[in-house]
Amino acid sequence: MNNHKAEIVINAVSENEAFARVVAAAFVTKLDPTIEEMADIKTAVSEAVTNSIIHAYDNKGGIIKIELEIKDDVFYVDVIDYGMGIENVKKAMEPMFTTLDSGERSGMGFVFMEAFMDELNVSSIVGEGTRVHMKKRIGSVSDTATEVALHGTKR
Amino acid sequence: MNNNMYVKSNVLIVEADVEIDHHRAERTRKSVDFIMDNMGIDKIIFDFRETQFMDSSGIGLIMGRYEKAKLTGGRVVIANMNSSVDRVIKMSGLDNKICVRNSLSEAIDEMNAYKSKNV
Repeated sequence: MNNHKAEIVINAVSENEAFARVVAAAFVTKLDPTIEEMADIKTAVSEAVTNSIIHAYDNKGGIIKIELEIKDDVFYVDVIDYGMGIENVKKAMEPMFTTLDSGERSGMGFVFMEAFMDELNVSSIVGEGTRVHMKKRIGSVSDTATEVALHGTKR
Repeated sequence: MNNNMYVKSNVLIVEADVEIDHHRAERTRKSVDFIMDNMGIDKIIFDFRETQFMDSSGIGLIMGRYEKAKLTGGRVVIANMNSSVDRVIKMSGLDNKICVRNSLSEAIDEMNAYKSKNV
């Protein structure tokens, strides 16, 4: 049984977006992921953390907790904030939906998380915060082609 | 101001960051908008040759500049994406709206052709 856990707590400031995704990518190296799998995880974590910074805390700062776990060949990441929460999670997850009308947000955050990870669960309580739970199996069948292309052999 | 952008023949060429997230996109947005507003430039090429990572904030950055340029008859062209940036752009559908070219020189040619059509 391959089991690892880690937890980091960071300030909800934009400088920490890079730190958060690099920590997640470093953590998952234990599973020997492909470059593409690493990129998927970095993107998904970056999206979740950015949401907490700009939506949950409205750019005013706060605390973000990131829980990382490996169970056998599965990577789990939870991004947790204690911000304003999401009133309608289903609506928030629709492509192109954004509450910020500046035109600078693409409304693709949850779409990317969903696309790049195997599983995405969002639970939120208005006024208390949001937990984004994501899961990704590393070395799944769909990545075999990439793996062969990169390393010239099957794992 | 960032030094990774320059104006050539009235076209702003932005050499995009190595990693484009919300933090970096905000900085680039401010610099680009400053040049657009103060030099009256509305033709922009984003050159992604150095970019290894981009999340949805990068999509927002390009979309925002596209909408802004459109107001004055300008244009945005993007070029030189690696496979991971390309994947994000295709997934967002941005390539249906914005002109994509393989290299900077092709992007400049595209922009010149556009300029001569819209004098």
